[in-house]
Amino acid sequence: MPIIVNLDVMMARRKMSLSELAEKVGITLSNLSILKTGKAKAIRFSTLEKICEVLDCQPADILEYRDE
Amino acid sequence: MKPKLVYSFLKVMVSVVFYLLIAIAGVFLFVSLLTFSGKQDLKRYQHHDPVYTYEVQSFGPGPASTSYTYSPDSLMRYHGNSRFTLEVESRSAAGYYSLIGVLIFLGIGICILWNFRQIFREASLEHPFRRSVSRRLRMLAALFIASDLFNLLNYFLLNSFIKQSIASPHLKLITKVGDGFIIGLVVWIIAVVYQRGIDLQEENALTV
Repeated sequence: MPIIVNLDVMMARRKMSLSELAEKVGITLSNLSILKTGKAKAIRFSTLEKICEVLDCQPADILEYRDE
Repeated sequence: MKPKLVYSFLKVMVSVVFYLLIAIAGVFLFVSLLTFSGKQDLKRYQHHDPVYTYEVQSFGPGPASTSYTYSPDSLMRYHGNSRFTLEVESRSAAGYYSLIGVLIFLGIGICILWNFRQIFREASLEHPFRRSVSRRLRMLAALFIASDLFNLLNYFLLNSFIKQSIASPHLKLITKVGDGFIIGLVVWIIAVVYQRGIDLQEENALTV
């Protein structure tokens, strides 16, 4: 998929673990793992909003379009 | 009636019919083998060798096809004697073919019931959408269509056997073709819709 999820990069910058982020965002660890590994087919605006809020970043910092 | 109860009832019924059909197929095969092996024991219980029977209809010219009986108001009529029961000797070419035909029909029936049984085993009301069930539904559709195609082939082959042996009256096998095809088509449509359900379920599961 040409949409790349840079969640791990942002997490590393904020020095936050996956479980900590999952807890703060309010989604399960497995769902966050699906998002991080790029297996997700869709992301809810509410989830994206919460992630941006917790990581203090913009959606573009997490999602990136790369032409294949 | 609760869906769970209906589901459990159907599950049991399918299993019962499946094993019943296997038993019938087993008995049929056993009796057929006894007949072909030429054992004389069977003759003690029967007046003649087991024969295959078919319902046939006369389409040729003759008194049978023209003798109509009318209702008092002449709005309805019927004619008798145009239908016959054709008996085929088991140790003839048509008899061998009949045996193979019956075995193929029984085989298709067992396969259909086995697939039904597996669907009931694999699916559940809590998790109804499974890829294996979709695959089995497609298989079921193919089997229903195959059974009808074989029925059609059987119709032409048996008619040719009848034509070779009985020139007059012109007899033709009475058979119903089309039911299996329609059922197969309906099951195929259900399988396609079911597949869409699986896709939606997966999409939902992968939506974060």
